[in-house]
Amino acid sequence: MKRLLVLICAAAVLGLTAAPVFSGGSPESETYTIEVTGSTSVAPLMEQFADAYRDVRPEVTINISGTGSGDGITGANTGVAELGMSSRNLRSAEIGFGLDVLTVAVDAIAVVVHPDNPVSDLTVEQVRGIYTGEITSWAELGGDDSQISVVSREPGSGTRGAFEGAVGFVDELLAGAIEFDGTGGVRAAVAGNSQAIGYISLGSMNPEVKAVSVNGVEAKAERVVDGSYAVARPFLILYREAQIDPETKTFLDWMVSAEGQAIVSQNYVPVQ
Amino acid sequence: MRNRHRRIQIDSAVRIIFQAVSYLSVIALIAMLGFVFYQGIRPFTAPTADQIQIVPEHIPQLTVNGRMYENRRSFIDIPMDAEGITIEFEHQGEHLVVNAGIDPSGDTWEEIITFPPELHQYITSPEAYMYTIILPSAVAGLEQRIHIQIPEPRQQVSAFLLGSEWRPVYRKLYGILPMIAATLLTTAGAVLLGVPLALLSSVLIAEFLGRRSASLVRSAVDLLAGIPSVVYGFFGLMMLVPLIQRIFGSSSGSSLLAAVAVLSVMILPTVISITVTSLKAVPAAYREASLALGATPLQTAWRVVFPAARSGITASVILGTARAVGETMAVMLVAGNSPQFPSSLTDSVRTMTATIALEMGYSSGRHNELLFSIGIILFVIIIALNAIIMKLKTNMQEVS
Amino acid sequence: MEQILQMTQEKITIRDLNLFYGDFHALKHINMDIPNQEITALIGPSGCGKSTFIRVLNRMNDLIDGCSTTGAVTLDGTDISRIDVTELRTRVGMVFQNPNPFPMSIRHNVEYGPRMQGIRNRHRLSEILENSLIKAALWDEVKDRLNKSALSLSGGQQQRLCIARAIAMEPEVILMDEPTSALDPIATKKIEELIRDLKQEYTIVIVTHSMSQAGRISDRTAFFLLGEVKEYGRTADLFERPEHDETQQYIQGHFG
Repeated sequence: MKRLLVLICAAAVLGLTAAPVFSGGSPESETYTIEVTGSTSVAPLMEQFADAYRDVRPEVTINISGTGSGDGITGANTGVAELGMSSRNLRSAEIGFGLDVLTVAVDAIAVVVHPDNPVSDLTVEQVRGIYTGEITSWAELGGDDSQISVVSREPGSGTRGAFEGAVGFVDELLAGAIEFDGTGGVRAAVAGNSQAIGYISLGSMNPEVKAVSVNGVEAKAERVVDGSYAVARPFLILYREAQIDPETKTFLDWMVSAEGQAIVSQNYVPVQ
Repeated sequence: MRNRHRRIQIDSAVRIIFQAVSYLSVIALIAMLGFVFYQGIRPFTAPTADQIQIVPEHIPQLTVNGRMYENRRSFIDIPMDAEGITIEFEHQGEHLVVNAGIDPSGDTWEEIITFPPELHQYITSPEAYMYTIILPSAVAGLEQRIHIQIPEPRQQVSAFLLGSEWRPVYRKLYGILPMIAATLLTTAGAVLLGVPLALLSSVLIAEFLGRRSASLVRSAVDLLAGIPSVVYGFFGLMMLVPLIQRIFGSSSGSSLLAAVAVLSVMILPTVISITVTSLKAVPAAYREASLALGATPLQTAWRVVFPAARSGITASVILGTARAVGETMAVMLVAGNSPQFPSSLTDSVRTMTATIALEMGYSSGRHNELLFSIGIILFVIIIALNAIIMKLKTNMQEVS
Repeated sequence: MEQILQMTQEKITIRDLNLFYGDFHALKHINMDIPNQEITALIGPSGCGKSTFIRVLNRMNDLIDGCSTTGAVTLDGTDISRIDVTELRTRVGMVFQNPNPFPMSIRHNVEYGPRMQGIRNRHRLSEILENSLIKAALWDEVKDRLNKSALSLSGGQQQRLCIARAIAMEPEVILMDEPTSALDPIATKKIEELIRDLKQEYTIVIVTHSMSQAGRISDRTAFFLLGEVKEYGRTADLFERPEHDETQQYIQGHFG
């Protein structure tokens, strides 16, 4: 009797944990869920894709979790997620994972300051100087006589990797720079501090912060297209061609179709 | 009779479930410890790989040390004891041969692989332990590349604990001393600032306030304990950080001072609730005896009640310390998270917990494993603090 | 009775004392004169108010919420409500029912009171320590372990330490609230001898449960019943020729 009760309890526990597995594969349901994970910078664009795709194929649900580019690449590599998002090019060690890569958009990284800051134009060299600690006062840049508060993203962030690569100071960030996780964190830090400088995805700009032009070129999608705005990076989707569902393949094709790229062009640079 | 039999059955079933549930916490602890230790010890025991790894890009067909690969997109392993690396492939219609020597005894990673001088102009090293040979192409973006990855050697414990540079992504420098210092400084600051405050309020609550106001203050303290740490952090970020910037005229208010201030408020409930409990547990006879000797209530509280509750108070301070060591979210929001040694209270710092929380989602390979190693160090600190509490408890039992 | 009071010098006088716990009338119209350098015993059944009464004399009842008194208590002619409470307690010491030494060393227990009064001189403190312990008949037993915890002493020793602690304040009056009820007969005997010796210097008021103890050590005895003083007089008189039937019955063990 005692043993029977134990068995019943065990079966109940197993049943509870196993339930989602069974329901996922039930044959009568026509719905399909695509798991997407990775970059917090790509996530807002992916949300827009998902919204629009609901009208195209209502039976497909797209589950997005924005955790970080590294997570997206690892997730696609290990199969935790069907699609991974990255806001930077793959690093050498990651190329060896043998993942398939689809570029869905190009994003400019805007260098932002507080709206009250009189400085509105910087050269790439000046940006590098600020971020490596050679330039410490706004006075050196034609601004007020106040110390610069350098705001960066955390190590491993796609935005940070792309920014450091484009500006040319890979892993030479000044040690005293403030580091925040997520685009929102950096934006809030710059919005709340008139001495701060930071960098965020152009698609995440809002009036709380002011984008400065780099080398005299405004941070705008058109300037990225003509190649004059230098601080840009691709938005990548990573997957394994051999393992994805046909439904997912359709979604991938749709993202780079004219319809998908029309969504991209609202805030980012389309790839075609 | 039958009914009674069933009741016994239900009783034993409930007991089994209770047992299983009570062991769950032990299992969870062991599982967690095992996981953290397994991940966190690995960097100190073995190199990241046993072989050199090569991956080609935009090269449909290549031969490495005599073996041919087609459309290869994953790593090709080359044993460390191989004589060298010979890569042959077609480049713009030409047959190219790239030769490199291997010296596994090289002191630094740059010495492990040697390239012939004519190749140097094509070689870049985008990050440590990594070479990329880039061959020009007429079409931008389709350059043929060969990535060569050298395994990172066993991580030195001393370089990890005592290194002062944390540049984990490209330069592969994994020194966490600034983080250890930051954790110790923020904790010490919070204890120095928060504990006296907490002890004063505890004495006030336990000894001087009337029943109604004491319960009012106590419920406020309990509510303080229930506020999610992210709310503390948010409050600190929005109120404290700008205030500190304005007062000190520093470039940013995100600082050691902000972290200390937020943490010292966060440890108040822990310290106060345990201290009040142990002050109340002091026998009334001690208070009477002291007052009957003509001592004032303040002298009584300070000279008799307080020393009598010493063990409990020490335990509360240690629990508060543990809370400060472990706090992540609030500190991450206000400390600024720069991996540097602070030279003043207004410098930005990054604690160990913040490092784990910040980078876990973005890390891979050794960087990821070393975040677990930081977890081990936190574990050790917490276990040490708990051991002190256990010791205090046995001492207390011996005294009473 | 009138005659007796005229013959002796009063240390404490109590005039029409009433004490209330909220609405409860705990002590009723008490009039007493406690003579100098004598031992006054307070006896009576449980709940009769004798412990409450003794705590009026050093104003320990002030600590209890809702406790109020009317009437007058004077110490050497001064109303005790007009004496600063900490000063009053240095003049009127107290020893409690259960030995309650502080959880510190023997030395610090005895030095506690003087230290709280601001005496810092080490030499002076040592002097007080030795004198008090000698007077409390504890010196020979503890002189070699003054820095040991007071909690390591036996119950009887702890109670004598508490007496030493009270003596260290050089009080005029010592109140004792059933000081031997938690002790064994041998320890009780020692304490009783000690109390008799202390009479030379101090006025002692002792609450006791034991009729025989009152008979052995006290000069005067007051019999309390239901918050009133039924009878007060020389111990010998009260025990041999009680004026009231209740006193007689209580002494003979009919109730209580």
